[in-house]
Amino acid sequence: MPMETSFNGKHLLMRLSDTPGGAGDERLIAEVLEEELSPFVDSIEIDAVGNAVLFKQGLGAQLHPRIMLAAHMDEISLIVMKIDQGGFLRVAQIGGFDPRTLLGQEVIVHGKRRIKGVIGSKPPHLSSAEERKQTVPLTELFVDVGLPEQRVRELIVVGDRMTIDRHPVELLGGRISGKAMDNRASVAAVAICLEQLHKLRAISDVYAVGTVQEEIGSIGAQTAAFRLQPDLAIAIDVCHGETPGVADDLVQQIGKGPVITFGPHIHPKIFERLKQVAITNRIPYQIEVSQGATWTDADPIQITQAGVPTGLISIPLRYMHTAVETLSFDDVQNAGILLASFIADIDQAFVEDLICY
Amino acid sequence: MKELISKLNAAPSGPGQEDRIREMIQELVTPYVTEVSTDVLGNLIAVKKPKTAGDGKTIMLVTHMDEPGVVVVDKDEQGWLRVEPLGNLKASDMIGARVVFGRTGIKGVIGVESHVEDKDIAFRHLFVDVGCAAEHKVQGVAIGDVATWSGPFEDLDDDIIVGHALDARAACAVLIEALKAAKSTHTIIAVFTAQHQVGSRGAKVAAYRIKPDLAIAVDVTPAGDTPKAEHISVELGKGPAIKALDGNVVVAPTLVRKIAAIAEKHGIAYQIEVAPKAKSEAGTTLISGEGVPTCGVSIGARYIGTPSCMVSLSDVTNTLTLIVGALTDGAIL
Repeated sequence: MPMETSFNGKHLLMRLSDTPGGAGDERLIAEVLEEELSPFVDSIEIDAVGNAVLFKQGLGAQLHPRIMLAAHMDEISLIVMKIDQGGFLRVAQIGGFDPRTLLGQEVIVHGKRRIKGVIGSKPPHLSSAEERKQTVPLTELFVDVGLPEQRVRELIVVGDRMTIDRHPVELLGGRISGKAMDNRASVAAVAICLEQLHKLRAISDVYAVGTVQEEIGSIGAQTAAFRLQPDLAIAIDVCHGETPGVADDLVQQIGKGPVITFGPHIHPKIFERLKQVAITNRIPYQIEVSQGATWTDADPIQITQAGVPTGLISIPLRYMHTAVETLSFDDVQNAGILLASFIADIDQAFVEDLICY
Repeated sequence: MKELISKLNAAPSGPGQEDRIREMIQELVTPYVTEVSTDVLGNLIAVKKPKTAGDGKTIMLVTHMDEPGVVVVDKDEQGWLRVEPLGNLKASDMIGARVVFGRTGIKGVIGVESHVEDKDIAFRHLFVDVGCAAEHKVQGVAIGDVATWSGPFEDLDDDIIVGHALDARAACAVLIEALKAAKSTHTIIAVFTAQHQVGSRGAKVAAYRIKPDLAIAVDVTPAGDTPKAEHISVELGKGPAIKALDGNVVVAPTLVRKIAAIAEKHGIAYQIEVAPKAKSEAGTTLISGEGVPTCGVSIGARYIGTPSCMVSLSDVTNTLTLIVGALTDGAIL
């Protein structure tokens, strides 16, 4: 009998969004997964580069197809580059912030202890007319933690990480806004999938991987795929939701279901099966066509070792790479259900057929 | 140490043509290692096994042998050699440079077409002049030959040294001395890589082959202690820079702290490297195969990518002490 748990996907997403985990320092996210998902999986391990691999064994004595899910755990973050005179911190970014959106943000500096800071720059009154017209580049920004330089140097060293300090909020209409929804939304979707799988009869072995360092080049996904050599892999990431001023063909609808990607980096049979499973199970879905690179973990996974048949599911969100990434929780929930239904639908004949493109 | 770096600096070896430096290093390390070999990319791999049975763990040290250079792409009837860069070089920095072809030892200087504005100078405007009247010399140069800077090694005082190939021959010197000095229960494999300047290609295959339990990348990193430099905190003479981030890797904070603890234990002053624009071999090592836990220790350097790369000798020797400390300290694995 599955043990009774208080699993709640939305609470998990809020908790994951709140938890700091920049690229290269994802262990706190892995800890949350261990805490919340242990009842649903057979084992959890952290590999050589920090990926969290949650393993759930398939049912039955026959050959189990081996499925890898990849959702990156890391969020874009900052790192202390230099402690300037007066104790102001100069920063470099780990992953691609838009410096326009950093100004005025609150951050947490992960020094000897967690220290609050704010991101400042020269005030408009003291800037030239020319300077006011321009975006403040990252090199001109600094973090002010309020302490005198001497004390700053005692508590913070060059190389300490910073993450945005922003608690997620529930907006009306089932929307959630917060930092790091890219890609904790997908991590939550994978968690929902594992919880759902507990109730389904799936014969596949599932390796659900919380990957590391996606934001700086999908590092964890490629080493995990290399080690696991799955029969097929599904990457889960976020995509752009409809936003004023952005052409319709570049974005997906928020709240209209998870997005299934088709394109050269995607195995057509996996795309087709995901779509069929969504239709059969009446799960809303949208389709996105990529012309090549998807800029997700799917890209390197596909060309690992002798090649891995790979699919991609995305959750649409607005304001990507800002502190107010906004999405619909329904899309997260449906992405999890779609993943679980897909996995339950897979048999050995399907994965053997994938070898023939 | 100074003599060793000076010697290493003098071996002209551009990317893909590392033969001269490889032969030199092979000769230097042979007395201290169990075995030494060259792989298909031209990496030199030196293995030092523990005296007794050991613990079965392997630490890989990695640095690159190659220096940036220019490759001959065309040679006209008068003997002017047209070149393209191998590595991150600026065309305008090359004007008037003295170069030497590693394969033949032929020397030359780099000239520029005079009709081009300074700001527009590209490699297609440059040519190598090997003394064009000397017909036999030009005949000795083949399309595909690589030339590197030929300036001398100099010491400005007891501590500050300058050389065109200190990136990363200063680090090569550290690895050579570390092989000599380290008495470890782990197997130590020092990899002197080929083709770093064209994308850290050597490090990737070496890490794949070796599958170490830990890799330590040793290299130079840009210092930020010159007038109006970027916000980089590394300074010359302030000790080894423990890598937290560079252009292709972020190092796990737990690993950074482990190395820092070893420095503290050995009384070595250290700095932390945050160099978003620098490329190292740590990134390619990390993603090799199933993934290799990777950290890095760097030597602060001014004027990287010019014929006058400058480092502090005390930083080099302290980097050596730190590396030897890391190799002998069980806590690193």
